[in-house]
Amino acid sequence: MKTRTKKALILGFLVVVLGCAGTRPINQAEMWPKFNTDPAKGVVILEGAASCTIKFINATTNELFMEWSDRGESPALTFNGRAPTRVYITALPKGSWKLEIETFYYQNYIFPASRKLISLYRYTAGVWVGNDPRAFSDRQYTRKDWGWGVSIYTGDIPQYDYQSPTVDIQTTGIATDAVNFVRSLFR
Amino acid sequence: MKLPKTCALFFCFILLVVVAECAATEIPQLVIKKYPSQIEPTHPPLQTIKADDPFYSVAGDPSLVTFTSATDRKLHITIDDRYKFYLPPGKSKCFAFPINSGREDIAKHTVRVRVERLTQYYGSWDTIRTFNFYIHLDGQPQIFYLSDR
Repeated sequence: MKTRTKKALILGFLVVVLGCAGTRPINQAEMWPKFNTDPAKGVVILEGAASCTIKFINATTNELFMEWSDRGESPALTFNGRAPTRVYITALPKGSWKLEIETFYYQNYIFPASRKLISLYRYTAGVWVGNDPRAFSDRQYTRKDWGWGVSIYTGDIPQYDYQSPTVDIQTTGIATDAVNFVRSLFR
Repeated sequence: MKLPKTCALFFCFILLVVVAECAATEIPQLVIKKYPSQIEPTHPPLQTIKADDPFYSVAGDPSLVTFTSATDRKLHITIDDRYKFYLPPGKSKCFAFPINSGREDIAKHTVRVRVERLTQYYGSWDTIRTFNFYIHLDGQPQIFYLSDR
């Protein structure tokens, strides 16, 4: 048997063994997983390339509690036609909350050289922080259960408003790791 | 090879855009501003409600909490370390608690129940139990049956 064939066989065997062992618990601690026990802990998912501001308003007392401003993502590098998704895990006190979301971006002009603010969408979302620590199930990004959660689409920037060349990578599988690494360099 | 002027200008603009994108990386991805609450938590006086009062609708009022004695012994009850009363055997007492107005410190209430067990040889033996209950706007009237153990 050639060395190359041996190496390939060993690699394949390792991949199969690790693949079988990796999905199941390998010790007593992993047999009893630590799921989320804090109902105040929640997740905010921001999809789309545009920037946004989020106001967390107490729905009962109608007072502003917190304000977020997300910078958005550059549309230069997209993955399957999508900009990178931002996932933030944060805590909110118990109660009902109103989220006021405003999405925007800046358009560049050559003549005269200037930047123009363009607002995309303005909408609201509701969040109820109760006693259940696993009320919101996120199966796409964090793949965990949280006390509360909200998924916000900030909107995509039209190609006309972004004159620079763009790259769209269309792959699936483990190539996502490579794409995420490249994205981390661009950020 | 000689590039036309417009083409050169265009490439300069692209370069500027790329440089601006790179220069803006010093800005953090997320900026959070927190605002302190202007509303102070209030503690209105606790009211005792008669359950058979025909002028007061008790149906579905989430602020009503009833403590019922399910024992033959005397219960000494303290609510939030401020309201103290005792419950005779088999009796019940109904209270109207301030409803949660968005702050957790208003909704949460602590109950301390002390039971005196008189024994023939060992004097009196106190059993002390503590539990919490919450008042929610979308809740229901609550009844607590208090036993001596």
